[in-house]
Amino acid sequence: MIPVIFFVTIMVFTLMHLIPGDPAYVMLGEEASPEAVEALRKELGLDRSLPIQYFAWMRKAVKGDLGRSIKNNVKILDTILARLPITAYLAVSAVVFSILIGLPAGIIAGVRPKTAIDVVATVLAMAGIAMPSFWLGILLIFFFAFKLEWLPILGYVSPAEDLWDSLRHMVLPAITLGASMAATNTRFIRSSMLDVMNKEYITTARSKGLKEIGIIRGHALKNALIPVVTMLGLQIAMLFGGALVVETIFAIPGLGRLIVDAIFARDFPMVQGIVLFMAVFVLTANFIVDILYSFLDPRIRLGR
Amino acid sequence: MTVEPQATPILTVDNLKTYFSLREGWLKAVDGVSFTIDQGEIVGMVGESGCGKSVCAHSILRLLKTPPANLSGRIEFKGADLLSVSNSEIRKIRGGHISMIFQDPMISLNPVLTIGRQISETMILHQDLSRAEARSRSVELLEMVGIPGAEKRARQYIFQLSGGMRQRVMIAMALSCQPEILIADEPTTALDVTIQAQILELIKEMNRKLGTAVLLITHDLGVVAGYTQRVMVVYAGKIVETASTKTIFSRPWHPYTIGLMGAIPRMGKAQDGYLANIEGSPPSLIGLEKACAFHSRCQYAMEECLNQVPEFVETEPGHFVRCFNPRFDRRQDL
Amino acid sequence: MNETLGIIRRYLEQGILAKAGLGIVFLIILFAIFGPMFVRFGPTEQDLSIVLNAPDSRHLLGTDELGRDILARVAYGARNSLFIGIISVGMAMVMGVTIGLLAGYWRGVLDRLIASLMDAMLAFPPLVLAIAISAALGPGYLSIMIAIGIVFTPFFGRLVRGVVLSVREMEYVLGARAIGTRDVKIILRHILPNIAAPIIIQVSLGLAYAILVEAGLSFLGVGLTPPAPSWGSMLRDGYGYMQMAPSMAISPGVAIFVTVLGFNFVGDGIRDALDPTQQRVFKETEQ
Repeated sequence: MIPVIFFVTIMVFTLMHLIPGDPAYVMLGEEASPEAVEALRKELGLDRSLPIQYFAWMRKAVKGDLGRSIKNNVKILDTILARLPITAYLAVSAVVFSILIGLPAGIIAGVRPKTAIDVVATVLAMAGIAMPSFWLGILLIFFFAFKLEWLPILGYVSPAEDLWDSLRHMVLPAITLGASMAATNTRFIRSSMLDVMNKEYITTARSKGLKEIGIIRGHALKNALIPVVTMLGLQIAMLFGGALVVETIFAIPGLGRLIVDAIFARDFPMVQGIVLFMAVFVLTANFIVDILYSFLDPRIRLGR
Repeated sequence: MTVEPQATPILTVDNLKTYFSLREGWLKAVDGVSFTIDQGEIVGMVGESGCGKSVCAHSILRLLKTPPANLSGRIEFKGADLLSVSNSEIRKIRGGHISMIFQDPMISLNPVLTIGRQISETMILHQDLSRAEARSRSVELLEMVGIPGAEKRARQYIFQLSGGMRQRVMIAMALSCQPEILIADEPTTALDVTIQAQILELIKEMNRKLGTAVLLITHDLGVVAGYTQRVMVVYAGKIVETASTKTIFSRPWHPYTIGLMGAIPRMGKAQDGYLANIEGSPPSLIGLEKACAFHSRCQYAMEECLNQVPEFVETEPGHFVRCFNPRFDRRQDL
Repeated sequence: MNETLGIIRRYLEQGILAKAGLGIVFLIILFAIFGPMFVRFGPTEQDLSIVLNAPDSRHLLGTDELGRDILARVAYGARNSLFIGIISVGMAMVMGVTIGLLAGYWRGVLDRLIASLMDAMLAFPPLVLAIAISAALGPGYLSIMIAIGIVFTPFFGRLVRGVVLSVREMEYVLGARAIGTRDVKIILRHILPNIAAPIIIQVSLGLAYAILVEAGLSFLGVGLTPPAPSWGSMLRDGYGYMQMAPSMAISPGVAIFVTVLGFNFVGDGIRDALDPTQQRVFKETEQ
């Protein structure tokens, strides 16, 4: 883990400092006098060598101080933490949607391969993967919000304020973000189930007289779903990426929007901080998933 | 207490044909097999790999996917034809009256379920036991098959056991509801030689103790010699010779059987350094011609062998051969 | 050679989706190469008198907010997307295979370093990383291609490293090393053939994903600079004019969708064609 995090921080730092544009100029505006710029740069520590700047940043970051935004001088970490729950809300909704659709579809398709329902599920799944999320979002808005006026177009309502309205606002974004995940899940679960149903121990279970449903429930699922858990872990990184787009389309004030706005505003410390946060988050989440995985699979848990 | 095998047939297979529809044609894995299994006896089914013996076993319990498999014939068990009973009927038979154990316990047992659970499952299903009752019965069964520390083992997973113990678990699982017949499909092939004997002894002991008839499928004549009472030799989807074990080893009459015997290394006989082997290889089971399937490899083949499929002939009581030219007088130097 | 023919034959046996995918990809490539030659208008040709027109006989897909022909923009956009996709995936493949081989074959510290680097890259949401890199490199084709190329490198790298790790323990490789075969020869002779198949699959799926990423970048405004036609930026513009000229948003969307679908079908078709596990028809004992 450690070398990975190390590389992550180096990558983030390097990238930020490669982006053209001097933060001091950004803060003071293009017309600022060279002396003022120079003074600000000294104050921000931008005149020191890169490695020193890196260490200075890291030293503070480890303590949780990601610095302040150039734009509005708010503590970066605070901003991130304020927006995180919103993105999390979106992400969780998307995941729930993707499991609700993907799990049954994948299981049925896997247990009954090459039948009509399998073909339908596979084609839909492939369509879901091919569909760019921004297009899907636009289409959904067009149909459901515009034409049919069932759901609101944009915006975010906190569940604390009004649960029902909050959910109404979250439906389309969750579907947009979750669609491709649902599709991937369907295909993955399908192939996992297909794999498992061909295993010898399923024949053994049949030879004991168990009903097909009992076999699926008691023998197949547990084996088939274990690799799916790792898949879910990997999808966390994708979720962040998708959130960027979805939050932009649906005007949801989450981390994704934050980073896009920050990039356009040339707010480098902010971008740096968010990217670092996201990467560390993903790494931690994957770590947790690995631990979960070892709980589920007795072979790993009991060591062989 | 030993159970004398009575000559009461409990399973009668009548002209079983299991064909698979492939792109290239029909694959006749089992092509007209008929035999009986008597109560409490151990019958061996021997033949090289690909001869159809395993398919035959799976056909009895209808474990094949039906398309592409196509079964015909009649399998009589307890007054019903297993090939035509309903799905729920065959499910009652599976595990409850006819059980099966498979070649490789590592892949034939579920890796993520405990052993106890896998054994209990059958009893809960067929005997309506409660979970707790089934669990304690499972432990007893594990002890019966000779696994020490059964209580602890029941909570473990199969990867925590050695190969021999895993096979014992399969046996315990299969016998849990005291079926009338146990089909053992190559139960020792995946095990070390030293363990093989242990497992076979266990099967023999269970046959004695519980009176369960055993259909022992193997490619190994040594297994057959030591542990069966009657043998069926299978070649290319048909039974070519069947007799009591003693008879078949002392008087094999089908050229294929003779060839098999000749290929066994024997102690104490003058060998010229080579094991006799049967020239050629088994025919493809797709589109078999109207001839004896063995004729191309048979040194005693005659005109008839190329044109007709031989029928079973009872050459002495209880000894059947499917051959136009059985070797009554000549046989390999055994 | 025979083997290749056999694979092609098996691919065609796969079923309708694989064949459809091949057809789609073929058509898209044709469209990208030749489409712009047959289109009547240029992609940046403005005609402010006919803004936001619905599709008609002159402009088959209508016009956008600056009077540009949407069909032309879709066609030129195809060129851009495919070009960027192919170059970036090609780059990723070369880089990924190289570091995957280095890591997997020679192991040791180098392996740990490379593996950590790849894990670090994979910790970033791909879109975010692509945005960051292309922002760092400035606007333009090259920076997008490099950005996507870098982002995709660990996908290839991890794949290759995994295969190499398992192949190098195979007995024929150990045997070759035991008789002193030079490493380069071992890699060329024994390792490369084994990684060829997964790489081809990954290329196909990678192309699909690259097109999506490029469109995403353009959609967010960090891709190709306007007025260069890109499906993603067309979508972005179309978003604002949905009510008035739905074709603006629908056309590029359909284009992306169909292209990505096609590449996905092809990738799956190849994967299934190369998969040696045939369904066992019946259980026969193998010894």
